[in-house]
Amino acid sequence: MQRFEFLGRFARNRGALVGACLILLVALMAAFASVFFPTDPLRIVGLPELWPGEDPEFPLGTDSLGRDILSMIVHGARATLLIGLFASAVATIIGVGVGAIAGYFGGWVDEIAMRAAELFQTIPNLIFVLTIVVILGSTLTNIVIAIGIVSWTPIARMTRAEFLSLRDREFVQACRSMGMSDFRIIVSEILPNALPPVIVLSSLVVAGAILFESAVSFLGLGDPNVASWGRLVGDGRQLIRSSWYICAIPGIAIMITVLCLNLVGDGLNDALNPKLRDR
Amino acid sequence: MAGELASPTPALRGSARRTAALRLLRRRLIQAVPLMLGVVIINFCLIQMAPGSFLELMTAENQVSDPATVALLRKTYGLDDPVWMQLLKYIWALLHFDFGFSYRQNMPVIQAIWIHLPATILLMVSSIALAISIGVAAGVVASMKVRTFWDSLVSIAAMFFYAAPSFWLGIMMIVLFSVKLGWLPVGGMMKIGGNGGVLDILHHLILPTLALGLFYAAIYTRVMRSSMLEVAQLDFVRTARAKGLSRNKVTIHHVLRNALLPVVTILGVQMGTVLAGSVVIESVFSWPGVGSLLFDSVSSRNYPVVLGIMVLGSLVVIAANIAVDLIYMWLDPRIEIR
Amino acid sequence: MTIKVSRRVFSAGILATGVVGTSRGSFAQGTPKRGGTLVATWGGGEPQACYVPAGGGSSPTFSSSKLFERLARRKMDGAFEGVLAESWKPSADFKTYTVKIRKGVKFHDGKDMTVDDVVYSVSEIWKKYAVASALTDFAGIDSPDADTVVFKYSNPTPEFFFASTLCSPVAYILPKHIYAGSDPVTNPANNAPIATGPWKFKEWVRGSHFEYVKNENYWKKDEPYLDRLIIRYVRDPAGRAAAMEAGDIHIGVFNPVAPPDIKRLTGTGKFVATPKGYEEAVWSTTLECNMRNPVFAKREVRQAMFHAVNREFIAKTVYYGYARPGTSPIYSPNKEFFTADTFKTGFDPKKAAALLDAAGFPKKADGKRFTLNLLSAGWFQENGKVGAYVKQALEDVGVGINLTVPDRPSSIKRIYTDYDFDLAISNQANPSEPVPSTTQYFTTDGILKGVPFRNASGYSNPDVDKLVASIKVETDPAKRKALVFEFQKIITQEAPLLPLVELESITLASTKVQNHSNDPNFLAASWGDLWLAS
Repeated sequence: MQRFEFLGRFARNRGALVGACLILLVALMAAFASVFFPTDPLRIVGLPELWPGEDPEFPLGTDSLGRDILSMIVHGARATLLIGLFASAVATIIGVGVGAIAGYFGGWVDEIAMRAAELFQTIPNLIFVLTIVVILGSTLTNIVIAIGIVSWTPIARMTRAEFLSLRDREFVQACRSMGMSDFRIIVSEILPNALPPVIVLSSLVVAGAILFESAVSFLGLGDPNVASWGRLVGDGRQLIRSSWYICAIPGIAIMITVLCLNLVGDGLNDALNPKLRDR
Repeated sequence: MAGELASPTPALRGSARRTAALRLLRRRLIQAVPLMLGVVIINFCLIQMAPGSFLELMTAENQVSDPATVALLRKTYGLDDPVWMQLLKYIWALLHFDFGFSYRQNMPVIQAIWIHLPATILLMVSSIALAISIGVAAGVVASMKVRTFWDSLVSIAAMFFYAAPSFWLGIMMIVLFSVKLGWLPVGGMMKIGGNGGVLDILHHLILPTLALGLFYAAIYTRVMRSSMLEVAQLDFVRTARAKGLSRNKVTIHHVLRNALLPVVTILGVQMGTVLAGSVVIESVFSWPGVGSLLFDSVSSRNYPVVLGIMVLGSLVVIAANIAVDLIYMWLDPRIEIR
Repeated sequence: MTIKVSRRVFSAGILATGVVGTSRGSFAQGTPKRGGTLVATWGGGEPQACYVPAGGGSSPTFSSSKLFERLARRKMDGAFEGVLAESWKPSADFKTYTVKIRKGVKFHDGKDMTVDDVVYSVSEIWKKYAVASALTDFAGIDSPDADTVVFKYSNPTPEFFFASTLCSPVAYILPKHIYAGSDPVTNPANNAPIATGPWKFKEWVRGSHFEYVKNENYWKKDEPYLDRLIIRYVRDPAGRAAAMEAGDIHIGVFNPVAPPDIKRLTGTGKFVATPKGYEEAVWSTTLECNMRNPVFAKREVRQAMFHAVNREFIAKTVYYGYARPGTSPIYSPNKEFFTADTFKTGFDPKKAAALLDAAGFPKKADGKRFTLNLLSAGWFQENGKVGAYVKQALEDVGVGINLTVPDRPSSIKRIYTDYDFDLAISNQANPSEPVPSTTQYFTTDGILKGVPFRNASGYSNPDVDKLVASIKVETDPAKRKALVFEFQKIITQEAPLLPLVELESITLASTKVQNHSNDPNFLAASWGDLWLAS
C-alpha cells in the first residue's frame, strides 16, 4: 500500500518518470555493453576521424585513432555509472556514519563532526579531488574515493538533522529504556526513519560524481584503460576545428545522464518528502 | 518600510546593528583559525602521502644528478627534518605569509599565485555576476508566470545548464562562436601582443564567463523560483497585498528582498566550487589564472604551489562565508547573531 | 649532399602527406631589411628559467640560445663553423685540441670576453652540468696565451666528436665575472642572462613573454637585422594557430600548431611549413624493454615486440604523417652515420607470434602468453595514443598489456629512477654525433639510476660497450663510420630499445620571415640573421 503510494507520487512527476526510464536505458546499455560490442572499445577498428553517418558501420563516427565512438559511449556508460554509484556509496557511508554519530550523541562529538564537515566544505572541492588523484595516482579506485571524500558533507548534515529530530522521540526512548545498545538504536531504529531524505541526496551525489569524474578525465588525469565519457571529450579537444563531433557526442551523453539523475532525484524528493513537494 | 514593519520580530537598527555585525565578524574570525589549521594539516598530510618526494621529481625534471646539489636542495627545502617539524615550520612560515619557494617559477609561491590572481578573480566575479543576474531575473519571471510556457521554458533551460559539464559547454561554445562564426577568440585573456585594453579583455572574457556562469545561473534560477513562491505564501506578503499594494510593488519590495536570502546563502557555500570550476574553465580557455597555475603545478609536482593555492582557496571560501553572513544580516533584519 | 638529404626528408614528410610546403628552398630572398620586431613562439611551454645550466630541456634551450653563444655551430651543409672560436686543431695523437678564441667579443655588460671565461665555462659549467657526458675523457683546459685555449683528453678524441661537443646546444661561454663563486644552478643571472649573443635580455613577463633587444655591440657586423625579438608563450596549439593567423606571431618552431591547422594555415598562402632545421635534433618515439623482466631474456622476445607493431600506422594516424617509421637507433637524416643496412624488425604479427612460440611463450588458455606493464610517458599527448595502439597491437599477438600514461614527473621517475615498467614508450632527440647521446641508451655506463634519458632498459652487453669505446676513440672518419654501422646492426638485432617512429618537427612561419630554418638545430640557433620582409 505504502509502496504503491510512493510509486504513484513518483510517477506523478512526469519529468522524473522520463528520467527514470532514460537512466534505466543507460543502465541496460552499460550492463549489456559487452553483448552489443564484444571487442575492447579502445580498439582501433576503422579509419580515423570518420564523421557520424559517414560509414554505416560506425553510426557515431570514429575518433582520431579510428576507434568506434558508439562502442566507446556504450562501454563508457558502464564506467561512468559505476564511478557515480560507487562514489555516491562512499559519500553516503561516510556522510551517514558521521551524521548519525554527530546527531545521536550530540555534545562535543557533534561539535567535532560538524567542524570536520565545515573543513571539507572549505577546501574547494574539485581542486581537492585533482590533488588527491594526482598524488595518489590516476586509478578508478582513487578517483572514486576522492569524489566520495569531497561529497559526503551534505549527507552528513542531512543525516544529523534527521537524527536530531528523531533521537528524542518516544520509540527511541522506549528502546533506550529497554536497554538496547546505542549502536542498535542508531542502525535499526533511527536510521530507517532517517533514510528517505538521505536517499534523495545520494541520488543527487551520483549526478555530481559523474560531473566530477568527467572533469578529472577531461583534464587527462583519468584512468587510461577506461573509456570514460569525460576522457573522450578531452581527447577530442585538439580536433574541434576539423572534427568537433568527437567532443560533442560524449558531452551530450554526460548531460543527458546527469539531467535524468537530477530528474529522478526531484521525483524521489516528491515521493519521499511529500511536505516539500511544491518547492 | 512596510516589509520590515510586517516582520515577525522588530528589526535591529543603526548602531545596534553595527555592533552586532562586528560581534559576528569577530566570532567568525575566531572560528576560522582552527578551520585554517585543519586545511593546512590535511593538505600537508596529503602531500606526505605522495609516492616519492617532490625533490626526486624536481631533480629529474631539471636533470640534476650531482649528489652534492641534491643534498643542498634537500637542506633548502627542509626535507631532512622530521615530518612534524616540517609541518610546524610550514605553519610558522604561513603565519608570516611565506608560502614557500616555487623552484619552477623561481620565485616565492605567494608571488607566483599573486601574478595569476587577478585573472581568476576577474573570471569569478564576472561569472557570479552573470549567474546572479540571470538567475534572479529568470527565477522572478518564472515565479510570476508560474505554470505557464515561460515558467516551463526557464525550468527546462535551467535543467540543461545544470546538467551540462562546464568544460563541454565551453568547448561547444568555442566551436560555435569562435570556429564557425568567428565572433569571439578561442582562448587567452588578451590579444597576443596586445597590451590588455579593457575592451580586448572583455572580448576574451565572454565565453569563459558564460561557460562557468551558466551552471550557477541554473542553480540560482531554480532556487530563486522556489524561494519566490514560498515567500509569496508568507503572512506579511499577504498582509501587504491585502493592504492594496499592487502586485508588482509587492513582488519587488517584499518578496524579492526576502527571496534573495537563499541565493545569498548558496553563493557563499559555492564560492569554493566557483574557484574550483575555474580550474577547468581556465584550462579550456587558456585563461592565465590561478587554475592554470594549479594545473601546471599539479602536473609538475610543484607541491609548494599546490599547497599554497589550497590554503588561499580555503581562505577565500572562509572570507566569502563571513561576507555572506554580513550580507544576510543586512538583507534580513530579523536575523541576529546565531 | 645537403640538398639531397633535405629533399629526401622533405619528400618523405611534407610532400608525401600532401601538405603544401614552400616553393623556395632557403626561405630567404633579396637583401636583408633592417629593423622591426619579430614575435616567435614554440610548441611547448614557458621554461623554468631563461637559462638552465644543465640544459633543462628544449624550452630553456630555446630561450637562452638567442642570448648565449657557443664556441662553434654546425651549418646546414654539415660543415662546422666557428662562433666564439675562430678555429680548432687536433694534435697528432688527437689527445689535445688547440682552439683560437675570437677577439673583440664583449659581454652585454660591456666587459670583454676572454680566454678566462672560456676556461671557466668549460671546466665549471660544461664538465659539471651542460655536456658532462661528452667530457668523460676530458682531462683539463689551459690557456697558453690571450687568444688560445687547449683542451686535453685522456684518450684520442675524434675530430667530429670534438667539434660536435663545441656545438652542443647549451655548451655556452658564460661570463666568469658573474658566475664564478656562485652556485650556477641558482644564480639569479639565469633569469636575466648577461651573454655575448646578438640579442640582449630586456624583460621577462612571466606567463607571457621574453623581450630581447638588439645587441648594438655584437661582434658580427650587421647582425642582428631586427630591432627586437619577442618569445611569446601560448598555452595551447589552437591559441597559437589563432595568434599566427591574426598576424600576432610570425614564427613558431617545434610543432606550434596541430597538424590540421598546419594544412589550413599554409593553405592561405601566408604561411610556410617546413621540416628543415631539426637535422641535429631529430626526435623519435621509442619503445624499450625492461631487461630486468626475465621475459625479455631472449632477444627474439624483444624483436617480437617490434614485429607486432605497425610503425607506418603510428606515423600516419597518430602523427598525421609527420613521422616516418624508425629503423635504427641512428636516425635517417643523419648523413654521417645512418645506415639502412640493419636487422629488420618490421610489421609482421605472424612472425612475432612465431618468435614468441619458439621462445617458450605459447598462448595459454586465456589467449595470453604473458602480461606486461606498458608505460607511455605522458609528456607528449601523442604518446598516449601510441600507447593505446601498441597495447592493441601486442594484445593481438597474445601479450596482455596494462597501459598507464603518467604525467611528466611520474613518467621520468618511473622509467629512469624506479625502472617500474616492462615496456616503456618514451622520446629522445639526438644530434648526428652518436657518442654519447645515442650510445648511452645502450651501454652499461649509461645505466644511471635517477638520471633521465639514459639506459633505462638495463641492457648490458660487453660487446656493445667495447664497440662504443672504440667508436669514441677512433679518429679515422671512415673506420669510425664502419664501427657505427656495426653498432646499428647489433642494436637493431638485440632490440632493447628501438625507435618506433622518427618524428618530423615542423616550423611554421609567416612568408614575411626571412632566413629561418637555416640551421640544423634552428630552435637553438642565435637568430641574429633573421629579418622581416615588408
